Amino acid sequence: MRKGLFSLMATFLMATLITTGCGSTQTQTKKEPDKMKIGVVVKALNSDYWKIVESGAKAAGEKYGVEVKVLGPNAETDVTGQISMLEDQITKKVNALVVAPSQPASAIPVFNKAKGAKIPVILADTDAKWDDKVSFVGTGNFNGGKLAGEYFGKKVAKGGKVVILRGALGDPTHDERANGCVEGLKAAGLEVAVIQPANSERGMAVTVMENIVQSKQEFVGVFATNDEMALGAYKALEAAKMNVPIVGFDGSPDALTSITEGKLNASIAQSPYNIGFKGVEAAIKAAKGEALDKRIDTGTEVINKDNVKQKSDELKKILGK
Amino acid sequence: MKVSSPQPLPGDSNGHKVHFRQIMQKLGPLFGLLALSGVLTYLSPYFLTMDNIMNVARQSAINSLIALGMLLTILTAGIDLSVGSILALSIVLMGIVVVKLGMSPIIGIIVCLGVGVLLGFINGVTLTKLSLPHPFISTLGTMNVARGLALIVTAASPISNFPEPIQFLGAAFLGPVPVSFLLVLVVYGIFHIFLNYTTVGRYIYAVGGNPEATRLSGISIDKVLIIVYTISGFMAALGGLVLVGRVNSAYPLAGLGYEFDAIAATIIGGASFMGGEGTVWGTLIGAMIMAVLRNGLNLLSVSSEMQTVAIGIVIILAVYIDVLRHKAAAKVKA
Amino acid sequence: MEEDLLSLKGVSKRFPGVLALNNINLDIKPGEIHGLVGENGAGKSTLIKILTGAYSCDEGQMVCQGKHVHFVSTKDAFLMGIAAIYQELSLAPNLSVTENIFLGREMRYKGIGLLNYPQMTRLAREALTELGADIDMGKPVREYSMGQQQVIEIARALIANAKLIIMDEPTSSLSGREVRILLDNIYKLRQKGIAIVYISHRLEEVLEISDRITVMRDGCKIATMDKKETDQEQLIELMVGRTLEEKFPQVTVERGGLALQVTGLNRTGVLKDISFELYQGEVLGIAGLVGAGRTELARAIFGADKIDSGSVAVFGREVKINSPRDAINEGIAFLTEDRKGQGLILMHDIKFNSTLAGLKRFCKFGSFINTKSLCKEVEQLLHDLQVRPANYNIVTRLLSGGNQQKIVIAKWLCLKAKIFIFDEPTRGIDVGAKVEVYNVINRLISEGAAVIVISSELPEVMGISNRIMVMHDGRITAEFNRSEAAPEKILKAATGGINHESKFTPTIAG
Repeated sequence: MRKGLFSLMATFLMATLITTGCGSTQTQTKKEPDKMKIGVVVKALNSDYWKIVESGAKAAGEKYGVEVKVLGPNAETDVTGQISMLEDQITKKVNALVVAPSQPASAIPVFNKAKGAKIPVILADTDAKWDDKVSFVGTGNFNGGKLAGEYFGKKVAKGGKVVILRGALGDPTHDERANGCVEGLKAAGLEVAVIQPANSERGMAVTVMENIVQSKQEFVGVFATNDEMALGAYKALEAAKMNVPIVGFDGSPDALTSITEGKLNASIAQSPYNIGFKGVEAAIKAAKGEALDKRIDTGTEVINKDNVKQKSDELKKILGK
Repeated sequence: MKVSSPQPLPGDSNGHKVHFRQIMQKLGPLFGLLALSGVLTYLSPYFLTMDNIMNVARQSAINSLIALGMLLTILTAGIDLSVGSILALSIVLMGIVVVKLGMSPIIGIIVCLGVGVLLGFINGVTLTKLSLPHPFISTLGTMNVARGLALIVTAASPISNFPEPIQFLGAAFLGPVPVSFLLVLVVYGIFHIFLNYTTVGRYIYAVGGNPEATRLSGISIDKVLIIVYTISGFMAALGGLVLVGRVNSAYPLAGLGYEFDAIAATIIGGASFMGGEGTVWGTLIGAMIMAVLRNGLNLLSVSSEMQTVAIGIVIILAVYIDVLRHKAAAKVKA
Repeated sequence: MEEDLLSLKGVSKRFPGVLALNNINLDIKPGEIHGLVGENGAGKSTLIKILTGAYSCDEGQMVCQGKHVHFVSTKDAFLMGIAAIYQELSLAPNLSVTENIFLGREMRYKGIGLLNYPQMTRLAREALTELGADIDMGKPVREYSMGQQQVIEIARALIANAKLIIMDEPTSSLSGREVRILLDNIYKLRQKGIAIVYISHRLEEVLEISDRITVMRDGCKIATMDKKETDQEQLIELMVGRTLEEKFPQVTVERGGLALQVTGLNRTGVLKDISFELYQGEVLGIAGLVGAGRTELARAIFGADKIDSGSVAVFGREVKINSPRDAINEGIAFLTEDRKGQGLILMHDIKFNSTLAGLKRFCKFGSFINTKSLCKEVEQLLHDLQVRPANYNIVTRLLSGGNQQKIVIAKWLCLKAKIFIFDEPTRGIDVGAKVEVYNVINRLISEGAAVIVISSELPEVMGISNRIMVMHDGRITAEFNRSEAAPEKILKAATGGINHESKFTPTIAG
């Protein structure tokens, strides 16, 4: 038993070492108590998309000389985990919060708590129906989806059907992207073949796409509400020797490589870097009490073989790769 | 320990030593919690503040409640994998009843808890009456069924804007203290009495310790198991009620992975996977350790990946201590 | 003089609070069959564990084949050619015979590394044929009887080139014919120069087969004798350290009213048309061989197993017993043979165990337990039964066998049971504690309880019962009053009248 306790203590010691290692900036802040602190809480930090948001946010921090911490739970489905992180940031008394809520409605109580603690909240990437938000920084996911739908109009003949692969059911981001695409397709005179969830995962997208191919459904294109699923769909279609345009969403590095190689046709990019950068910029202004637009647009564009080189060079610079 | 005989314990020449060891065993997790808190207090100026302590109390509440139901199943050498899904189905049905159909909050709460009880009961009945080989199977089934139903009935979208009374448990404060934490303390008190001072409570320990001896003592194991899984379902739904108050929303993917947090809390709190051993207070401390760890690492801006690693290490350590404890006991026996 | 295969000098082993082995000197010669007898708790098991490296000794020396050895693990002993075959066989039931025989010593094709099944099977078959067994190498072990499995274990030891095979109670679960085969095989092993340490409670068996016999008691070696120099009586005296009479305290109790009446009880393939009566104030002994259906009868009466037909009347009233709970409600208690597996919840304390069945008695306000009155009652029970230590917070795992049995009795006393069925009440309990268990049984009948004692130990059945019922093959084959019972008569009835097969029937056990 004593040995057990000893090893328990040993781990805590280890944990201490880890945390002090990670928290070196912490000590720095103690020396400069006046340095502004911005907390950025995103949906998760497990994909390139959020990593780019992170680097944008950090770049803004460096530019303006404020301390920026980017946090996110392990998975976009961990709604309460994200809320706990927000609560803990409020306890830390950050000067402003930039939040990409996994589930906007669920986060409203904690937003109110932030407001009570006089911490301004900037919403980034995903909007919430909260009247007291300082600003929303991002593009409508709906608009992005619509852009994809319209893009298909230029690529395939009228009357064709398009498969839509979407992220987890219940995730509003993917709801919007899918709905936007449906509208864009209609405007371009196209139809939806089927909408299937593939939980934002490449592996699941392969399976789902295989099943769709198996069902002998007619389709002329595939839209996936993120790049991971688009790449999965490509795998399945490549195996089935089918060549239809596939459009992803996010403009992730993998997708750009794939577009360069002529595999994916296009990806809708929301400029996550700008979301991070402008989000923090807005937060700094809000913390200083400056006025802000209720809505800051970060732009959406289609990346395809025409502009992929330029875009991936930019991206490489951002990610420092 | 009352010692009505001056004789030393068998297998040990020093009775006091065993006494000391037993206390150490019981308090091990508590020491762990205190040590952890000490380290975090040192590392973060925000940790030991009233605000943050109440934060932890709130953040641990849901897992504490679910872990309590899980404790019962683990005491019977079982497991309940369906708690997260039961939670989700309970709250989305409450959402439909209250928000979409506009019924009274009371009916909503009854529906929520009732769904939990019903699903837990089904877990117990499928386990015992269909003679499924292990609760892993029956609850794994329920886990998938309930999650699927939750997605179906909501068409996968969240339900928000619950009326005040439903949010009371999860959102309200009594002074500086969150109601959810008070609820936890009350429920834990009730469970302490239930497990230690009622026949069914004692039978739960007996079933986990030695089912055959229990059966031959005239106790219906099936009945005990059905009660245990029903309570576990109820606790999941109660945890759901708190969750709804906390986030003002019921969503079909709520409670994803909560079963593992609950299992971890009971195990860290000293419950034995082999059944028959574990206490409610240990479980509470286990849930607290997990919440404090997450909270502290958040305060220190440690990434969530690293947090996951830390919790994994703590679980393995806690079980390792359990193993050492059993080894020590075996030594005393030999 | 021939060199000893293995010799122990001044070996001692101490556990916290107990000196399990005290200065043991023992030598085993190559090719000898060495009997080892002693009551449970005499230190035989500890000695075996030291020989096989499961424990290492605290003091003393071991010399094996001329070399000083110090075993740290069973592997060390195995490499020195010492193998053990335990009462509970240690085969993997799902693996094939060949796989079991070569478990841990698998042969591989040179270079490729894959298992060389043909060669392993050939060697295994050779070994088994030598032992006169007709066994299919490819079948899983679970398809074979205990006797055959034992042969497989012996083959395993042969393949491993064992010089010394320790057999711990090898015949306890074998039929008469299987015992014969085993003994023949042991002679064959001796011819090959392999030494055998043979441990058994069945003294006749030990006397027949052994060349020399060592008696142990209380962790000490009492004597090592040539077979020719000794007889059964002397062995018993040495083992017990006192004569038989003191072992069975007697009380005279007036036989009371009819407590239990069983009529025409049947359970397909197990129990056939069982009818008997049990009166208050008497002990009814049930004798018989393993597998005669005695435990099954007890379980049937207790409702633990379903019966096909027949009726049970308790105190003159016919009752339907479908589950242990029904039986308990009728005041019937069943103390199983397997105390640890079926009687106690070892990880819990005395208080918990002794009140488990009767918990409802201490309830007030519905199902809340009145801890105070519960503790008071447990204290009283511990005092009455002289449980040591008399501390109800002690975990039952830590108690000795005799005290564990007392806690099981306490559990049923607490429930106010009136009819007690004891299945092997003193198995695994040392002599002193046995007497205490008998005293408790006597106390029960003095207080008007009715008691059934199932026992494989003939002296025990004869020593404590007022009446003795003998079972064979699911039937009752005889009934005797205490005065008319004699070992030969009981044995004859226990073997269905065919006595020749039962040369090695249970005699004395510890």
